[in-house]
Amino acid sequence: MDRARLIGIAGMAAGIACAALFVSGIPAVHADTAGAVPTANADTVSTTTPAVVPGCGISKDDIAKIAAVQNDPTLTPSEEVVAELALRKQLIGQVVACAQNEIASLRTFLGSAATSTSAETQIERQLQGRLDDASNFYTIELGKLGTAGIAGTKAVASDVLAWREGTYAPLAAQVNDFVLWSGNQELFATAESRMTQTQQAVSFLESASSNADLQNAFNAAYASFESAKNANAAAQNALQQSLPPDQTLVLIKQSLDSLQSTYQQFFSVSGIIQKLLPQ
Amino acid sequence: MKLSQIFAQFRRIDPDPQYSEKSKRVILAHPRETVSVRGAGIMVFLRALETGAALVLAGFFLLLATGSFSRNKYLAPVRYSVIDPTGLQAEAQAIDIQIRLANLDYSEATSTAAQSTTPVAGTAAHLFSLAAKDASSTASSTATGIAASSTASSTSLSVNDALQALSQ
Repeated sequence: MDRARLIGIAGMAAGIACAALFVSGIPAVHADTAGAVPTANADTVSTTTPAVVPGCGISKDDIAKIAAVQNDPTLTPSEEVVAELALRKQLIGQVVACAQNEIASLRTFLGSAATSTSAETQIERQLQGRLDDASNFYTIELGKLGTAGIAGTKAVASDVLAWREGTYAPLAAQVNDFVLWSGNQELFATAESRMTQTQQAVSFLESASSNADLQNAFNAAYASFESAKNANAAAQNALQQSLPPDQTLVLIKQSLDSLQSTYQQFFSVSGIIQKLLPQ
Repeated sequence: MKLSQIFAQFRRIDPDPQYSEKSKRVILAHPRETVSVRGAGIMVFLRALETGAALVLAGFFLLLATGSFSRNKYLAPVRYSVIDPTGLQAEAQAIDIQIRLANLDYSEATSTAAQSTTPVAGTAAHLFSLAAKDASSTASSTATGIAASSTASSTSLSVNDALQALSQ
């Protein structure tokens, strides 16, 4: 097969390709996206909000009833104790029921987290398990009310309060951290895709003509993204190890700040490329 | 001389015998292409091969032009999305929203909830929801909204405040 024939084949192929592109509208020059670009609306954030429990709290008037019973001159001391005890048990029961609803609400909120990897699923299961433990704690404390006197009900209320401050509040904060962190993973995936495409474009342009500004801007974006990924991985590790929620939140904020810096560099790279390309 | 006589003389023209002999040898010495059935089959095969190669190349060019080799850095075309400020802006804005959510002070949310009937976890989730539904609003305005709504039910106690009162 001589040279002229080979050229003829290539020409025929190019002709067919051009004709097909002309018919299809040349999709290659369409500004496609860098992947699953998260939009800046509500869809980017988990919007599965747990149902807010309506009116399960105790009013000040309810608490005032205890004092009213204690000061009721029509009641004998024994009747007063019986009435106060019944009132306290009823109010604590209402408060604990409200606290159980909190857990149900938090459980729904946790379920709204986007879990795609095994690590994320593991963290979610771990938190769900701790919510189960929290629910069991309330059930146990409610059971203590059956034989408790007034001092016993006060002790139950005090124990539940201490437990909530020491155990439940950090757990709720960890759930919030996890939902926030899981929402970030889509952003990181998009940024990864964006970084790959930017790297290709910069390499292509650098091969044609070296540009120090372009290379510096890309290097800065790359460094910021590496920093963001490291902080993101550290946040995942903190969630897996149930480290203090404040510590986890700091790492999450660091990862987002670095990711924001990465996009600022992407804007710089984009501006430089726009200047380099023929208008 | 008449034209008929001229033609009669043309009939008597003969080539030079030596030149005829030389020409004959040259013609006989030239290799002759033998056309056989087998040769025709090979030609048809080659033609089909040429057509197939052209089609394959056309397909390759099409895939190359449409960016189907994006995973291969040597074959992927330069993505125009890299310089698309609209796409970049959307992605950056999504990050801004997450930063606002991260900056929402959880303890502030819980203390605010303490003044309302909204449960702690529900309030935190509600903050997420509000921030998600109104991306343009700032986190501070969201928190302010929560605080404003809480004052409407100032007589209600949170779970912790109720437990505090019942423990005394």
